[in-house]
Amino acid sequence: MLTIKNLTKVYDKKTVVSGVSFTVGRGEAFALLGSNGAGKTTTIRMILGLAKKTAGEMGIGTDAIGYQPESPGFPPFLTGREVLEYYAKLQGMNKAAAKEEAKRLLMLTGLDDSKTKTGHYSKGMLQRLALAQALIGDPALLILDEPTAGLDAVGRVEMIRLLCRLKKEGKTIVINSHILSDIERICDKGLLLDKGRVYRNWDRYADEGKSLEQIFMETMEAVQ
Amino acid sequence: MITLIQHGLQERARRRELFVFIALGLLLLLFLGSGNAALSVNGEPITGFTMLFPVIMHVVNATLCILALVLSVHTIPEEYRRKTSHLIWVRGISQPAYHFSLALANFLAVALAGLILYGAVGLYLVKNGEGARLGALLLSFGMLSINTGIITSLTSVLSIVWPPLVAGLLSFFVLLAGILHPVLEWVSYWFDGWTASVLRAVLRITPDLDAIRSMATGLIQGTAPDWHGLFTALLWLYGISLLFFVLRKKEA
Repeated sequence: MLTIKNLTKVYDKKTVVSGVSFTVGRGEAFALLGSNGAGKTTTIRMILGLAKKTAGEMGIGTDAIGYQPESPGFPPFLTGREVLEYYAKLQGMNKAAAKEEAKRLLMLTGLDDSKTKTGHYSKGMLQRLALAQALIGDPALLILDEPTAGLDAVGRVEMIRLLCRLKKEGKTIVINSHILSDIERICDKGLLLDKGRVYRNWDRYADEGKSLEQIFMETMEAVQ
Repeated sequence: MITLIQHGLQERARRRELFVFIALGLLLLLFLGSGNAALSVNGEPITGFTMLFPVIMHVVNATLCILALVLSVHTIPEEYRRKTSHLIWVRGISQPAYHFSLALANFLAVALAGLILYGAVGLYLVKNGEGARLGALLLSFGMLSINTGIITSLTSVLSIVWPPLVAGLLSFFVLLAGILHPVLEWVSYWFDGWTASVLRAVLRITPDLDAIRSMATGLIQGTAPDWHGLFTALLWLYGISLLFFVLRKKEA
């Protein structure tokens, strides 16, 4: 579904992503891990076409990509349903189809179709709404930036369950996250990035017996 | 694009500034139109329809131009701050189309405010027994919209590349110079040397918003428009609008 080869990004003579390569198969959940400034978000932005790559190759097996940015500020005067209808229309759906799609996604993400404006939403509800807008049009590939960040315990559990369900349904998921325990529950494979470079590949099955936290700490210590 | 404009209008209609400026404009028009205003130029009192009407049109023009600036200066930066811009681009909508739609929504919001103020101008005409001139109101409104179009476009394109404060100050400078074009022109004859050169340069690089205001007033008063001035203003509007397709947010 997604093949990245030697992806490189240079901003003002500073290399922020250097020779990153990975492959994500259909129905897999893949994690981009690393501390702040590791190059995770830039990698995601290049995949989405929001930033131009300086070098490298990208092969994306679908045109239907859903993207959930970290805490987007939805218009506070709209309800969740109105937000979804708006993005559905921007995606080319007519009014009736947008309405249906919004209804389906509110149900899927566990948001109620109330008159509550997004300005009064909790962080957890906003994250679920952000995921719902990424799911408009039923994309095959989902790219999620910190989907569980800032959520309380219940919100996190619900979000993880939802992502696992989407994975089970065959969605390919790329997640950028700091929260290793969440990644371990959702993803099978991943990359540990530091200063734009790949320091280690992580594979749940190959690395059996070691927690992701252990692997992460070992890698970070080796890097320093 | 229509969805973006509709959404933009919906959002602008919730902005407090829109209503504050409409209320302020209406209050000023009420004050001037009631005949209670003691205005004078060089000691000569401004009274009667022919003298007061241009003043009223000055107020309408200034109110709408400042509203255009205030609405436009934060619109595009705010979308980037909220990170909603990425959700637009991943849906295949280009930066120019997105920025242009946001500016168009602002322009339409200002036009709505303009319609309300023009409604008040219409009442003033009727009150003064000038109801026969009502037919020209719509044409005049269209003419004055060139000014709000110029300020909306300019503020919006500047806010793509510069922070709101810089974009706002630059736009305000253009607005002020545009409204005060005849005054600056007059003052420029008083000076020699570099001061005169600077003033003439300012006149050359800023659109003559007052000429459009004057034409919009003239249309209601039965004066034929100055076609050259109108063409120049439209050229300004076209030139600034083209910048939407040239200026891009760098790796936003």
